[in-house]
Amino acid sequence: MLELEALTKRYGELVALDGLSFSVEQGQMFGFVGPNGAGKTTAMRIVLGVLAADEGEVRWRGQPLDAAARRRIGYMPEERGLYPKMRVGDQLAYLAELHGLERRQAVESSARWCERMGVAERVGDKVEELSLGNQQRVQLAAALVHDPELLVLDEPFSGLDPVGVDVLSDVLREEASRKDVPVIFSSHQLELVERLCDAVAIVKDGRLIATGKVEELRRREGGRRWRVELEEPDDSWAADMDGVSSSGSGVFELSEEADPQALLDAARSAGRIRRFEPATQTLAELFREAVSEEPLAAAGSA
Amino acid sequence: MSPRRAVSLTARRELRERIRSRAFLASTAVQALIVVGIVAVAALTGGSGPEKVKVGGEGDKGTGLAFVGTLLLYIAIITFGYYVASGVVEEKSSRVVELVLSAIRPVELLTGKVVGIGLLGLVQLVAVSGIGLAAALGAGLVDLPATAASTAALVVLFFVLGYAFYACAFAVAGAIVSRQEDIQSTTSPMLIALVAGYLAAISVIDEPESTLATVCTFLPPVAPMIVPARAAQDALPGWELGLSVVLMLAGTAALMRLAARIYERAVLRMGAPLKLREALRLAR
Repeated sequence: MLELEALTKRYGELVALDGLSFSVEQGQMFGFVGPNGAGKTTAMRIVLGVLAADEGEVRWRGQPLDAAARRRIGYMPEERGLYPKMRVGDQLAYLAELHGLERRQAVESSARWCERMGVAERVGDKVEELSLGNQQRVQLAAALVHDPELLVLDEPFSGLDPVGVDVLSDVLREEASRKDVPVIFSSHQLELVERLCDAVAIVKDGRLIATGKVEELRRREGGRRWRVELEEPDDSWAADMDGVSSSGSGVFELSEEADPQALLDAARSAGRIRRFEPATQTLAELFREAVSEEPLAAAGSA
Repeated sequence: MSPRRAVSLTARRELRERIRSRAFLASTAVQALIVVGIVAVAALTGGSGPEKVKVGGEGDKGTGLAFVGTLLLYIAIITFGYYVASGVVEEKSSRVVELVLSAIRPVELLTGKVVGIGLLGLVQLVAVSGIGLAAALGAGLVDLPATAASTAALVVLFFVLGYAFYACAFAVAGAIVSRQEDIQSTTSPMLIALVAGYLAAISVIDEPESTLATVCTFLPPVAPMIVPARAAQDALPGWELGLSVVLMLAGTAALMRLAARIYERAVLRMGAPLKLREALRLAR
């Protein structure tokens, strides 16, 4: 298990991370989401030891993460990069050795990952001679070539075509489920995160807004949102009800006191009902709600 | 992984990748040509026949040897210092540095780079000297001055010392910028110091015991080009050589510590080049 505890990082006046804590279980696909500038990259860099936290600690299997353990992490930085003039195979073998593999293992692993990522016929080419898509594949291979025990990937899906997204998803799922490797990745593609991830953390302004299994996060909001569809679409029938507010397109949000049965009764008297069901939120909706709450509150008090 | 293994891996990468690069082969060829050219000129102007001349045709004083040694050192320190600066920038501009630094410490990467490129420099220096020597033998200039062996040893020693000294500065010049274009300006102080050292060495080549020559012997930035030249002419007292080496080592140690600190803090920074003052502040 990877635990981030109360990570704080300041750049002068700017607070990049403000007591960020969350944990990732073995074999979990973990989505790390938040608006630009929320501190995702900073947090990942701190996990990798590329940056030092001002306060807080990162623990791996209960121990503070040290250099030896960090070498067992597979990392894809936000700023992609490989040696442009180095050959693909040499490059991957070199990176594997840097992460602690012996020369022979490193060479074998390099060949295996080139095969797996579909760039086997390019092993002798310089990285700069590859298409961007193939460079991305090599970049992913670079994160995996030393058979890591933990994967930390910063925006791994950005810039990939749909086929690339599928290849990457498959590889990550395999690492997580078959090898029990925790996979933490950041992304702005929330549908993808929702589809792939077991759990997520939503951050904003360096603080954790919400974390947990995707299902649980949805359920937390469940029971308070209902979708009502009448034969003649018109949302105004519920306008006078206490504790009921329309979120548009037939979705109503109920306060703690409001009774869904009352909503049903009101709907029935308004017309013929085609559909009445609890409305589950997508991760995208959860996300928008979570990240927009604070500025609205701030605007209200101003 | 031990620091030693990290350093040896990065050093080996530098050596392996560069030794077969076109730039390295070309610069080796050019220098070999220069040295062979000097030998040829010496052979033609110095006369031939039964009365064999010394390298450079200047009799026993070894001036020609001093000239060649100084030139080789000057070229080698500039070339390989520049390799260090551009190697550091290449890692920054390609952004691979973050990936590498997620596995090893900055000082290990820096040390490996400096050591690897330094070994490459030694390979070139030995190759060029060997070719020069072979050419001299071939041209019939076999009567090398008595100081030849010790001069060759000093050229190698002062390449190592001078390169180590300058490599630190060149590494900083690379670390404080993000694009290859920008190293022209940040490496210029080193280039100026090296040119000054070279000119000083040339100007005192006929008076190796002058005050200027003595002073330069004790200044780490210029000593590497002066000392072998003086030794070639047998004009260097042993204590001066010893003190010069000690000062070079001390200067290098101080500069290395400063360079490692600046490098560590600047190498992940992207954007506009840092001013020297800002870079020094990083080292605190």
